[in-house]
Amino acid sequence: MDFSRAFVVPLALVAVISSVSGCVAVSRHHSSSVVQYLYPEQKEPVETPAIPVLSLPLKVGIAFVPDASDWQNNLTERDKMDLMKEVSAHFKKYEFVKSIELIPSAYLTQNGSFGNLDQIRTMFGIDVIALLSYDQTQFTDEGLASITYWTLIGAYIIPGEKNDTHTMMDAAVYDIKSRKMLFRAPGISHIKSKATPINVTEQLRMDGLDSLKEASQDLVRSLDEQLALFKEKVKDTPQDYQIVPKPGYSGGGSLDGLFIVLFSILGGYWLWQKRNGKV
Amino acid sequence: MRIPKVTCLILVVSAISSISPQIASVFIFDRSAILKGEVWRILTCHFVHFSNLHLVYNLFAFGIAGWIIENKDYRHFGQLCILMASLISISLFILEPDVSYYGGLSGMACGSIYYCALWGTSENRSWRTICMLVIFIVPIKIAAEICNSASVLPYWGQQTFVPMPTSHLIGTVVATLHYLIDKYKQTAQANRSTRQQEAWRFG
Repeated sequence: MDFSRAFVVPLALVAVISSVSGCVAVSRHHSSSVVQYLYPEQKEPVETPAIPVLSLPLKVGIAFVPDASDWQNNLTERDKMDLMKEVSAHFKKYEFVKSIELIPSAYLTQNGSFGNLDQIRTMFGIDVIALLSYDQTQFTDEGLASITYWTLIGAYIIPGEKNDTHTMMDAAVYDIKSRKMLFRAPGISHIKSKATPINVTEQLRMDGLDSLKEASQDLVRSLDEQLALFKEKVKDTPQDYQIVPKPGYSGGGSLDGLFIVLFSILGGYWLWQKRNGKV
Repeated sequence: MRIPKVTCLILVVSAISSISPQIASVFIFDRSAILKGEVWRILTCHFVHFSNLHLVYNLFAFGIAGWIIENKDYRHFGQLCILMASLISISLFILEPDVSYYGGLSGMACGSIYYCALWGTSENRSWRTICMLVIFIVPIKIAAEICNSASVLPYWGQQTFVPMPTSHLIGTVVATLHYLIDKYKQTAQANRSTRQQEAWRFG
């Protein structure tokens, strides 16, 4: 056997296989946009917000922004509810939050804008809403192990597909009445996995969901920071936010006119007595 | 006329805490913070006020009451203030579980004016008449406030909080009890010294 037969032919075979099965990258992108939902068909979304009047304790709603793509088939309503529950559990610990409503997707219409939010506000009796949106990109590359696909059985048992899932989840908290965004918090996640060509779509779906869960946990962490910053902002710029406590939330020891008159009579009479030497 | 030290101290601290939001946030009655162990708020919450008008009303009322009490040398005013401050807050903590925040000096002002009026009943006739008027009117007014869950007369200016007549009631009750205990001690002491004098006189 000469040198060319021993090495060149197998190398050529590898090159051919690689050109057919390897180096093929597939990407998927799914996203939903708060801007698209709130400001549809506006090239320059300009809305003049009023000064938000936050009446404490707040009734908060949480909803996923509708998605334009067919990704909704992958992220089921149950998954969305589970994710919203995770975020709502975090909100519940704050004493200024009275109740939290999880808004099902059916109540949010495509490009519904603030008109849709007003309807939700009336239906659920909420003051502010946390709009959840996401941006997820998934890449699938074929690794060196994909060479085994040529054996046919390898395609069933060797995980030669390398998946990368990048997710960014975002919660934008809006005061519905004033149409002002109070604060926002992001959460990110990056998940890697491997799969066989046979179950690659299933694996991608699982990765997508896991990545969203991870991003929501990160989101919850950054919600704490953003909320603390928002509290400071409210204190520092009272002209931009009006805080009105609901009955029973904030109590004050106050005196009305009758008490003031009574105190004045007593004080005045005592002073008069003192001046006239009657005390 | 001498400077009423306790009254001035409370007025100054109230004014400072109302000017500085940082101090107010440390002083205010915050239910969740108290549960976490920030118990000083039970005493300091009375210095915090929610608006300038709220501050002016309460300082004016407490100033008058404190000024009279200290100038007339009515007993244990400082002790009474500490008792009223702590018992009003503790009562609100137990009786008003929905109230997350509380501030204001009015409960202490009500208690102080009532305390002043109670001691005034043993003074000259004209002052006693005025004091009897206060003793008569204050409970009726507090009862009306509790029944209506609001002030009897409308509050001047914007009110950003819910008035808590419970604080007036507790302040008045604490003041009455303090007066009765003081009066009892005073009477007992007087009786004891009379008995001692008699024993000494008759051998």
